[in-house]
This record gives sequence, structure tokens and C-alpha cells, in this order.
Amino acid sequence: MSEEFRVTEPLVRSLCAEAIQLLAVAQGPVRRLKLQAGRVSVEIEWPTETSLPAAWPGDGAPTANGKASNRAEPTGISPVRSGVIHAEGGPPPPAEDDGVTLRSPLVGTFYRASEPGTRPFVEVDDVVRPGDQIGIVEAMKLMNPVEAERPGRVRQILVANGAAVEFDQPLIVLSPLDAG
Amino acid sequence: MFSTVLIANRGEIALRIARTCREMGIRTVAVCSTADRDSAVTRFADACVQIGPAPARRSYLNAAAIIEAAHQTGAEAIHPGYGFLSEDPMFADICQGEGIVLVGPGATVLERLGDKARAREVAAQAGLPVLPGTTHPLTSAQEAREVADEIGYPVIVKAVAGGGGRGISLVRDPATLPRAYEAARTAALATFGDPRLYLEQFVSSARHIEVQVLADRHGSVIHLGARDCSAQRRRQKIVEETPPPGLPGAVVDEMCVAAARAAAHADYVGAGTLEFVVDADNRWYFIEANCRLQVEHPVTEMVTGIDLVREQLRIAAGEPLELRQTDVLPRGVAIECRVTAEDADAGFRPTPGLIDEFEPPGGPFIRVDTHGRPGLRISPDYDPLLAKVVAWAPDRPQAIARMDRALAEFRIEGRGVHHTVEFLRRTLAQAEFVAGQHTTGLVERMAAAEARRAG
Repeated sequence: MSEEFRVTEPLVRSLCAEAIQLLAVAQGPVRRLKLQAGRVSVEIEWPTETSLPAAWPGDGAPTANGKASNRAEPTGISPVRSGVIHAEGGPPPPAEDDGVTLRSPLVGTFYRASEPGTRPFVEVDDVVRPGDQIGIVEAMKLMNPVEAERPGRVRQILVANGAAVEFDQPLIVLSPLDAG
Repeated sequence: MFSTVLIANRGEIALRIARTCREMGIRTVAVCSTADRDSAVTRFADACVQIGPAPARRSYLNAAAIIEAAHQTGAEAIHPGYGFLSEDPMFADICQGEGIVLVGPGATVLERLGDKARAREVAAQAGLPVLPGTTHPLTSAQEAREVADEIGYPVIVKAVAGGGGRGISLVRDPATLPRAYEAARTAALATFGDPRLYLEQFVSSARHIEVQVLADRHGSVIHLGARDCSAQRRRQKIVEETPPPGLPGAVVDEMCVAAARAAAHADYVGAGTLEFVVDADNRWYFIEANCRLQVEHPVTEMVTGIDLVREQLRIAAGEPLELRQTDVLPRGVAIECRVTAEDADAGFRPTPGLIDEFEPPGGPFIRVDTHGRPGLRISPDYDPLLAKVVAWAPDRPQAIARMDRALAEFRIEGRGVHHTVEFLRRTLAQAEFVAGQHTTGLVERMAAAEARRAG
């Protein structure tokens, strides 16, 4: 059940103070920091180049937590896993760099275009803005649009047109672009 | 027989259903919410589809998601287990429209018997005794008062869309009826989406006795004996057993035969249970019909040697019952205890949390149906049933002793996790339970006695 937070000056000041603290202890330049009060949530994003080593030979995505990289054990908050760290509980997202994954909102069939034969909503390297449709998940003959929530460039399309998808299944990976 | 069955449920019952499917060579598809992603049935089944987030209305109650999962995996049939969509006529209709067999009696019967007031009418027409009360929903508080005056207090106000011990309020005198009526309407609307109520005479010193029936699509109906489910806490069953102790065999037979006849009259198909209340004079009355597998079905399986899920699947596939009534020969006594993740010392508050240690009992004639294991995260989104421990023995005293031995062995540990094993052992040790004379007030009396000792 979510709590109601009244936005008061003390609350805002407290959040800012926390943000400054976090930035101070975070290792390396932070690209993005988000704090949220209702339902908690702390997100820290680092840019890939300075935070994690490139993919190790024989490795999947970098999962550096100090061991693989031979760095000294960092103090404070280190980019264990670039991307988001959620305070909500539930399994952590798979280790990936700064890509943003759009996931299926329901179980059904994924379509890349509005109709068979028409041009797909997006292709790799397309730039999308918040609200742009990137696909459809159809269930019980109802077409449910899937939309980008943040600006980005399409990096990878994970699901083929017409393939079955589960709830929350990754569909498309975007490289985030700064707004404006 | 189906080659693929989707199990539209979770927890212990989903695993239990999947096991019988596996024995029958049927490919199993589990569905799960994100909270159940790593659960027992998802590990056991041949395939799994994640259908939604934790809240049941977006996952296990999400008909569209379940149907999609069935189509994706080629499931020809869906077994709904108990609860969730198992008695939802709309879901039954959708399945039929989608060409998927839903294990159960079908939308028409579900509608007729799912309406608890209408079910009384059907039962009465089928020749079953019903308690004085209404067979149609009450139209007003005024009508409620008139009926209550006629049948005499105390009365029970029940939700038409309720069942399973929910949506029930006891009204002891006329002064409290108007407020109780309004409160019950509000609660029924909130809980079941349907505010309609009906009225029944209250039976004090009641025993809750239910009859298991099996009916195929070819007109065969048999009964598999009766279960005693009088040990309840707040109208939720905690201990069940078969045969009903202390009830004359002739009375039990009478109820069972009548129940089978009523099921036939109602065109029932599948496994079903007819519930009765028995008063202090051994007079019995129909109260409701459950058109699904019951939680406590294992006790019937243990004394009859019949796999009810197997029978359900055969019936759903259109096969005739292999069993005749004369083949049903129950032997011995079986008792089931429902172990829940609740704090018996804190008002039975559910205690979600992470289980570190989980060692269920075993040994002779012990069955444990559970999805529990070390590492299981008990979610607050679902009911707290953790395990069903079932004990069989040739007679009741041995069955009780065996159950106590088994419960004493059961190890469940986890930070913040409580469970009701000790409470169940205390319940089994109550004099009235040992004597087989317990009624539905057993747990209340136990709590009152403990309060007196403490105070």
C-alpha cells in the first residue's frame, strides 16, 4: 500500500541533502540520480565508459563487483551494476550496461508493426521519444500498444514479429538519450 | 486424454495437480506471477508462462492472460484447482468459446450452484433437506426482518456470491438485524462484487459434514464418502477427517446417497462436494455445493485409494467413470491439518517472509502436500496456506497419534515467519476433538479456555 507524501519544504531539503551525500560517496561521475519518497526508490546511473570494464573475454555482460576487475574494494557506493538499483525488492535486473529495456506489459503475441505488411514501428538505430509506439502485444484479439517511456535510440530488438511473449519479457533495448 | 494441460493455480495445489498429470503422461504447463517465478510448480512443470505481476487480479484471476498462455503452449485443457477462477462461470464460458476444456462442471452448473441462494433451491428440488430461510436473494432489510421473525433467531445472513466460509454474519436478535444487513451488503459488494444476501436459520452445536461426489459425462454419479470439517477457525477449516467421527453410519450413508442423487439431478459433471450442517440430533441440512476440487480432498484419497485429480481429468476428457459405487470401499481413518504461515499467538496474523529451513514430516502413511522449501518467499498477495499434512491409520486414535508425531517433526524456520503447527497440535489434543464430538465452536472454546487460564 503506498503512503501519501505531502511535499513539504523540509522533505525537499532532506531529499537534496541525501542526493548530495550520495553523489559524494558514489565512485566515479554519476550520470543520473533519482530519489523518490512514495514506495521508496533510489536510482543511480553511471555512464558505461568510466564505470565498468568492457566485456571480458568469455563473459556475458559485465558483472563487476570488484572481483572481476582487480580494482581495490571500493568504499561508499560503487557502480556494482550500472543502471538502476531499486529499493523495492524483487529480483535484480540482469547485469547490463546503460541500456533501458522495454518489457511486455502482458502475456500475448508481439507484433512489430500495426498490421501485417506495414512498416515496423521501429528498427535498430531509430530514435524514439516518450510516448512513441515501439510495438503491439496482442492478447485475446485486443491490441495493446507498447510505448517508449524515455527518449532513446533503439539498440536491440529481442523478440521476433509474431512471437509469443510472457508478462514482463524484455522486448526492446534502448540506449537512453538525454532529453533536449 | 489431453496431451497438454495448463494449471491455472499456484502453491501446493498446482504442484499436486501437476504430479498427477506427470503420472498420466500429460505435458504440464504452469503459469506464474512474478512473485511465484521460482516456485515449486514452475520447477516441476514441463513449461511455464509468467502471466502477470503478483496481485491475483492481474495474474491468477487474469482470464485473458491464462487463455493466452494456453494458446501459446498448446494446452487443450485447463485445470483451475480451487479458488481463483475455478468456479467462475464467465471463465468457463470463455474457455468453451476458445475451444479449451476447463476441468469442472461448465458455466451453466457453475452459475446455478455458485449462486448460494439458488443452490438451496436446486438442492430442495433434488430432495435434499435445507435449513429454513430464503432460496432467493433478499430484496430489502424489511424482508430480512420478516423472514427472520418467521424462522426464529439466531439467523445467519450470507452473501449469495460468497462461499468457503466467507461473507457470513450471525445475527442473534432483531435489534441488530438492520445494521447487520447493511454491513453484510457492503462487505459482500466489496469482497465478491455482489451485495445480494440470503438468510438461513442458525444451527448451534453444528457439525460441518461434506460429501465428495464424482460424475462423468455419461450419467454416472458416485459418492466417495463424507468428510468432517467441523474444526474451523473463523469459519475457515483447519483440520479435516474422514469418516466423520461419532456420526452413525446409517446417517452418513443417507447423506452420501442423497448427495449423489442431487448431483445427478443438477447435471453435475466432475468432482464436486456437497456441504451439510448436522445438528445435535443428527439432523442434516444442505448448505452449499462446491463445484471444484476441495483443499481437503487428500483425506478422501487416502481412505479410498482414488486419485481425484486423475478422475477429474478423465471425466473432462469425456471418459466414463471406471468406478462403480460398489468399488468405493473406504478403509481406515485419514486426518488432514492445514499448516498456515500465521502467528497463532498474535490473532493469526499472516506472516509473509523468507523461509530458511523447511523439513516436512514423512514416514508411514504420512502425506504432505506443499510448495514449501528453503528459500521460498511467502508472499502477502496470496492466502497463507503453507502445507497440508495428512495421516492415515486403521483407526482414529492411531491417526491422531500419527498426526501429532508428524507435526512435531515439521521444521519451518524463517525470519519473521510464524506457522500454526503447535496450534494444530493443541487442537488435536482437545478433549472434545479426541472424543470425536467437536463442533464448529471448537477453536473458540479452546481460545476462551486458554484466555481463562492466562487471566
